[in-house]
Amino acid sequence: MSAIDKAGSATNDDEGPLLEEATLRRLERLSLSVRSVSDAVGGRPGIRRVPAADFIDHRPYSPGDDRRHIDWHAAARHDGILVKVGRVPQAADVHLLIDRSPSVSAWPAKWRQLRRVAAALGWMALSGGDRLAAHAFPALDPRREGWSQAVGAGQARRWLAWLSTLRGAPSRRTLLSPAIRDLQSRSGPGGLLVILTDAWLDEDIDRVLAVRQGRWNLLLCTVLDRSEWDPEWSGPVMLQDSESGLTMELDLNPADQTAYRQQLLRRYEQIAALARSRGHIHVLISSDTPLETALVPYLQLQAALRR
Amino acid sequence: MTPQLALPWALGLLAVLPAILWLHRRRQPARRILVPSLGPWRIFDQVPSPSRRQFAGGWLLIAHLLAGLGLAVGASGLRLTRPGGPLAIILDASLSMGAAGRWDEAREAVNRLAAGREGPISLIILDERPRVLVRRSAEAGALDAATRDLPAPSGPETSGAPDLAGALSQAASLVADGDIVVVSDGALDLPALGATGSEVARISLLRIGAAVDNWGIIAVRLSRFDGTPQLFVKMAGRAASAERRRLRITADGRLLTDVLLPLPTAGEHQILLPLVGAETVSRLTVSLAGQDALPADDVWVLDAPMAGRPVQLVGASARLTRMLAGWPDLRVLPTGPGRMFAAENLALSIIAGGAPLGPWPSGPILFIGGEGATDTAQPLVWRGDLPPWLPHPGLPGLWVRSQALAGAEAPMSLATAGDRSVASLRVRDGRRIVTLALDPDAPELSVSRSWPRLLRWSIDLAMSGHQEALGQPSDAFKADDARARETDLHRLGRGWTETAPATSRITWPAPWRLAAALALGALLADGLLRGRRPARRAGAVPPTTAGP
Repeated sequence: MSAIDKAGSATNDDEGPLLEEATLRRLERLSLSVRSVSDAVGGRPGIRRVPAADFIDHRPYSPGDDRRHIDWHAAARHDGILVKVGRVPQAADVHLLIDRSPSVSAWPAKWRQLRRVAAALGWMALSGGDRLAAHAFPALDPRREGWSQAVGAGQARRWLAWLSTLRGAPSRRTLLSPAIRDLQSRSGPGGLLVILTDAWLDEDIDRVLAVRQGRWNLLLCTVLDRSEWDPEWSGPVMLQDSESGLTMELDLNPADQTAYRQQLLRRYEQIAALARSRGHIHVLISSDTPLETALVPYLQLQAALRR
Repeated sequence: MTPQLALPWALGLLAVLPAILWLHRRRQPARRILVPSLGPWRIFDQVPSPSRRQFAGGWLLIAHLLAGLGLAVGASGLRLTRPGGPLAIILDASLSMGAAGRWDEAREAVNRLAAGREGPISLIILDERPRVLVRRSAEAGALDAATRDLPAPSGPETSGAPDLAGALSQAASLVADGDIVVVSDGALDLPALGATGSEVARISLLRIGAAVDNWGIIAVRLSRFDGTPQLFVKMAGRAASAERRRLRITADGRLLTDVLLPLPTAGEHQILLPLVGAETVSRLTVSLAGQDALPADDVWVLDAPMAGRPVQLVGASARLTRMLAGWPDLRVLPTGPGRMFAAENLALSIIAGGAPLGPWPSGPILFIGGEGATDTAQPLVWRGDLPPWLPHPGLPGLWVRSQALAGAEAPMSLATAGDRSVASLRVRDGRRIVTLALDPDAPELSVSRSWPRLLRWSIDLAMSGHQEALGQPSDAFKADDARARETDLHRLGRGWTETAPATSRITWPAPWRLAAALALGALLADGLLRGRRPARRAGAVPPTTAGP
């Protein structure tokens, strides 16, 4: 036995591809739903009404409008020239913030599950024509270490390869809000922000969820290792924080384990409630939950995905 | 009963208690678990429960603290129960106790013994004449007050062997069935318990000091033999290596002899020196040159060495008494017939008639007279084959009236008159017994000039001796050895039950101390072994896991 046991170190990182081919095919049929979109035009229907072939309504012609959208029949029935307006498919900006701190990366199953979720979301975004950017934190140089923005299904394989090579980073403090601020300063006016983390941060989760609503839709995916939920050890132990190194001596009995689980559940309930109050979506994923049963049905329930 | 600490400084061992706490802080649980975050576990910091919030170490820590406390208190000599009963302390005040701080150590030991005792305590000073300094005192500070100003033994005047038997006898009369502790540096033979007057007192020795390198003069005797004074000097001691030291003899400040002596590493050395012209000196000083641990025993002073040696005269006529009293180096103590001193400090007992009521004197004896004296005098004839070591007395023309020897026991006949042996010598128990079987009051002797010379020759023969005659070198002066000055030769005497200061001042049971010491040793070993893998302190060390 090593000097320090890790809670739940059952699998290694080299278990094959993050997503199987069958899973990829299934994900291709899904698309992300974005409740608000930017001005950019892409392959996703926008809410803003602009001159378009997909007729919804008329409006008076204004200089600069495409003449091909003039409804001559309507112009004949009315006094003025009317232009057909409709929703134009637009591309969404999808940003993934991937937590690679020791509290995640030191647990292979948890680390792999987090990357599987990231891979699935990224694959769906690229397949749906959205612009995908990914940022791993903590990072010494976020501009270089992240996945630069890319569009199109042709980038999907490269995205999977990048995720497969992503490694954990040592850190004594895990701060997410600086990464979010950096992302917002560098990115466009808004988009979908997906945060993949275990939510063990060295800051108040409230600060993380205080992302400007309306321009950014936030999906908070918290990944939990099975051993975190069901600690298998008891008796006198010394617990050591994987990041800060702080230690704590305990003499655990079954009643303590129950109290611990209740405390853990209470914490995630608080995170979920806080996310809902801010208009965000929170997903809790365990390390041993199948991707289809954990991610897809929940996103369907949240109306985040549509077939 | 008030608690007392024999060694208060030993309470400094209480410093092990913080050390124990520190070692327990270093202790690590059997398993270290790396968790993503201590966050959810913090509830156990805020909600203590008896099963979980016990101090790290728990009962083991309590056991260690108790062990440390027990060790400190036990070593400090906390007296929970004090032994009772009368106690007599015999403090050796012989010369060697003045060496190398032994006297202060002895006084401290006396006070420690007294501090740990309930019941009457007596203190007896042991020297040539033992005396009771404190008699059955129940006051705690009585011994301290009595010994505070007691001078350390020093100087050549402190001579003579300590009378241990007398001291024990006095102690036994004070304690009855109590305890007698002799505080000494050890060169004392325990006399038979019967000599102490008590068969039930428990006698033990509390030994003071350690053996040191020292040579000393333990016996000096100036005797006259065949008209020439001879000085006998006996030394004893030990040293790390054999050495050569000078022996100087001065008479009234005038150097008589300076001899270089080869002294062995340990044991005794004796020398016999003729001292011509020493008869008239008033003070003879014998000194051993050089330095050692006890300078006081390097000097021996004899005042009026040739005068005043006590000789008891038993049953002698007035004429014989006057004649013997005329010699200046003899202090004649005439006694009546049948009355005799058995004292050991007599140089000679001249018995001219009668027998003792008690034991015979232990020193040399000169018998004069016998039974059935002849009516006519006969010439004294010396044996032709006298031993070469025996100076021929000469004495021509001496006529004597011989008498029958009383209780002759294979004597060595020296001279005859007629068919009777008149002068004879025998050695019994290391002492010389000379017999002149003649009538000392015969009229022809009153006008003879040879008779006083024969008498003096016989006295010198009895009071001195030669190794050729006696077989053992030290036997010649065995009587003097009994009075020899005790010096720094500290082989432990015979017959003692030694006691240690610890047993008398610490009543904490030894198994407790042993158990406490073992527990502490185990803790230290455990702490050191675990110390090879030091625990992280909060926030002091970065995490060891860098991720996959």
